[in-house]
Amino acid sequence: MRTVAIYSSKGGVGKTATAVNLAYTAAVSGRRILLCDMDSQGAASFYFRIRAKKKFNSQKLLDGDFGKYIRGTDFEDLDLLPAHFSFRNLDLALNKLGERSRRQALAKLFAPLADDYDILILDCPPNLTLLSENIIEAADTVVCPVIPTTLSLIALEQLLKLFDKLDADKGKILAFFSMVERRKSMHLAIMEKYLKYPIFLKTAIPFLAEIEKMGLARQPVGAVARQSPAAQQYASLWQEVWKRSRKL
Amino acid sequence: MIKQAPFASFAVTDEIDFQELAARLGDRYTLLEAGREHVDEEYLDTFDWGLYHSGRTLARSGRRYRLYSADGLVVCEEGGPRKKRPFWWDFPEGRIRDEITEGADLRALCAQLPLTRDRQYLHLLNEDAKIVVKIWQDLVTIRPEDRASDELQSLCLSGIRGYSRQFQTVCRLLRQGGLKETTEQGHFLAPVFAAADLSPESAGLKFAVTLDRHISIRQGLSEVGQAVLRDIRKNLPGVLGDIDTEFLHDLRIALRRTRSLLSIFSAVIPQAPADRLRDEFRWITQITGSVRDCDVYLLQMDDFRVMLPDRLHAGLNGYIQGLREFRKWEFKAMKRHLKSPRFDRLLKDWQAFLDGPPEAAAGDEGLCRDFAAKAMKKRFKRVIRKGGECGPGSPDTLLHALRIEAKKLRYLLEFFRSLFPFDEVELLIRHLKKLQNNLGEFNDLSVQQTMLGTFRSPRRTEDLEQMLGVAAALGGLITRLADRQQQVRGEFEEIFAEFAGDENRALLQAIIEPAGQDGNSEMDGDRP
Repeated sequence: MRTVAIYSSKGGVGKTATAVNLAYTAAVSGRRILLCDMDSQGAASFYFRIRAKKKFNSQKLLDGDFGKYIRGTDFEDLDLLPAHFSFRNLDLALNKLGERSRRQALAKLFAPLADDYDILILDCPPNLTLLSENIIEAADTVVCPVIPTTLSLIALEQLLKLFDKLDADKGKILAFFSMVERRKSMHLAIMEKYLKYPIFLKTAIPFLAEIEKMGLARQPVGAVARQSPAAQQYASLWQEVWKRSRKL
Repeated sequence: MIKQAPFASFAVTDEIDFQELAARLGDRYTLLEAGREHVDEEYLDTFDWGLYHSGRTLARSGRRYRLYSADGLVVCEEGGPRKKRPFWWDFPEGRIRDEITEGADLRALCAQLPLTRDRQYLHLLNEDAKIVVKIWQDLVTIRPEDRASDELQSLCLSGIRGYSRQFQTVCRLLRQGGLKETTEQGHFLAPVFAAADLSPESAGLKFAVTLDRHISIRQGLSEVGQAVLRDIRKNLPGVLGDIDTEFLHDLRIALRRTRSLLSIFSAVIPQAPADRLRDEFRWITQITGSVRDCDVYLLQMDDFRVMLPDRLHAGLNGYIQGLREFRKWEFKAMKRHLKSPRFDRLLKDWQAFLDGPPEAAAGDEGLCRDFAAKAMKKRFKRVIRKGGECGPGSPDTLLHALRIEAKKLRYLLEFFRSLFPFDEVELLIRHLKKLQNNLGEFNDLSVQQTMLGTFRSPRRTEDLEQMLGVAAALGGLITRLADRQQQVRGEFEEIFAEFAGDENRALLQAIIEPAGQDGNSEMDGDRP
C-alpha cells in the first residue's frame, strides 16, 4: 500500500479538490483506494455525500478501531474514512502519546489496511503541527498544491523546513501549481520561474468553474464529465504523481 | 481487516413493483432509476475457464470489451483486439489487460456463451442523495448455437460498505414480497451457465478418476483408460485449430499417460495388441514433439531476450523468425498425421480395447487396488534405486532415466489415487513434484541448448552480418543456459536425498498397506 498525502499549511489552495479528484482517477484506473478525510471541516466527506457514523470520533481513529467506520463512495474501488468534528483535536490526542510513538502513530494505524487497499490518500488539514509531522512520517509521497502566489510559495518553503527539522526525505515532496489563472501575469511569471525545479510537477490545475461547482454536484469532476478539461488535467496529474512517486 | 460489502441475488418470475418497494422504504429514501441498457454480448474465457476461476468475467460486444465483477457489476469497459480468439497480450495496456493476465495465462480467450442482456439499474439513495444500495434487474436471453434460446430473469443487490442496514432492509422487503434468494455469494452468471449446460466449476480441474474400491484389474484399466482417452479427444480440436499452445501440451500429457497405462498393465493384458497400441501411441507422441518444442522456445523468447544484451536482440529476432517458419512446416505435418486414417484407427482400436479389455492367460482377476499398490511399491523402489545411482559426476543419461521413472510413478499415483488414502497420496505427489521439477528443468535446459545449437536461418540468406548476429545471440544464450543447468544439477543431490528419506518411505507404506488397515472408511477412497 502506498500512502499519498495531499498537504499544504496554507488553506484554500485546492487540497480537498485535489484529494477527491486524484482518489477518483486512481480508482477508475483499477486500484483500490481509501481516502482519509483528516480535516475536521469534512469537505472531502461532503463531496462524496458521506456522513460519519454517530459513534465515530478521533479516539476511535487513534485506537485503531476504525475499519467499521469506513464507507463506500458511489464509485467502485473507492472508499472513504469520513472526517469527524473531533479531528480538530487530533493534535492534542497525539501529544498525549509517548514521545517515541507519537510521530509514527498514523503510519502504524494505517499499516493493517495494506491488504485491503492499494493506495491510501490523506486529505490533510492546513496546519503545521504534530499531525503534520505524523502525516510526513506516514506518507510515501506528499503532494503539495501551490497557487502561483507568494504566500503559497512560502507555505512550500515551510514544508521544506519542516522536512529538514524532521530529517525526512525531501524527495517525497511533489508540488504542483493549482488554481492557475493564465490571464494573471504574476501567475505566469511565478510558474516560469519555478517550473524548472524538479520538485514541481509539469501538470498544473487551472482555475476552472467546474472544479468550483464540485460543491454543488458533490461529485469528482470526472464523474460529472469524464472528458471535461478539469477531469483530463487531474488524470494527467495523477499519472505524473504515480510515475514520480514510484521512483522514490 | 475490512468487511466485504454484501451481495444478494433473487430469482424473478413476475414483474416487480418498484414503486411499492420505494413506498415501503419510507420518506428518507428514494429509489432512482439509473439507466437501462440492451447489449448483445459473448462471454469469453479460456478452454479451461481460467478467467472464471480467477474471479473475472469478460464479455465482448463488437470490439468493446467489458470486465464484470463476480456479482455482475461492470468494472470497466475498454476497446480491445479484433481477433476472434485473443490472448491477454493482444489487449492494449490498461485495466482489462492487467486483470485478465493471470487467469488467461497462455490460453486463448474463446467465445463460451453468446447472450442478449436487458438491464435496468436502480439506486437506493439516502437523504443526502448518496447511493446506499445498488440494484439491477437482468433479463438474459441465452443464445446457444445448437439449440433454442432460453430466458432468465434475476434481480441483484450490491451493498455499499458502511450501509449494511439499508441493504438488509431491502433484502427483507424483497423476501416479504415473495422473491427467493438464488445464491449466497455465487457468480452472477451461475444460473445462466446452468441453463446453457455449461459447468465451468469442473472445467480445468486436474486429472481425476474415481474408482470403486472393489473394482477388478481389467475394470480399473478400462475406467482410467477411458478418462485419459476423453482428455485426448477433448484437446484434439484445439490442437487442429492451433488455438493455443496448451491444447497440444495437454494432448501430449494424455498420450504419455496412455503409454504409461499400457506399460503398467502389460503383465495382465495380451501382449500382441498391447505392443501394437504402445507402438502406435509412441509414434503419435513423437509426431507431436517437434511442434511442442517450438512452442516451448517461442514462449520463452521474452525470458531469453532479458538474458541477452540489447545489441544481440536483432540476432535473436532472426532466430525467432526462423523458428516460427520451422513451426509452420512442422505443424502442417503434425496436422496431417492427426487427421490421418492411421490415428483415427488408433483411437477407435483403443476405445474398443477399453470397452472390453481382452483377458490375458492368467492373473488378471485380482483387485485393482492390490495390483496398483504392488505397482506403486515397485515404481517407488525403482525411483529410489535409479536416483541412488546418480552421483555428482554421473552422466546426464542417468538423470534422464530417473526423470522418466519419476514421471511413471507420478502417473500411477494420479491414476489410482481414489483407491488409497487421499491426503497421503496428495502429499507424496507433492514431494515427488519437487524432485520432478528439478529433473524437468535440468532436462529442459539440456534440450534447449541442443536446439539452439542447431541454428535455423530465417530464410535462405547471403547476409553474413545477419548470420553472425544470430549466431552471437545463440552463443550468448547457450552460455547462460549452461550456467543455469550447472546450478540445477548442483541442487539435485539435496532434493533427491530429501525425497528418498524415511518420511516418503513411511508415506508409501501408509498408502499401500492392505485395505482395512489404513483406518479409513470405504468412503475415503471416493474422495475426488
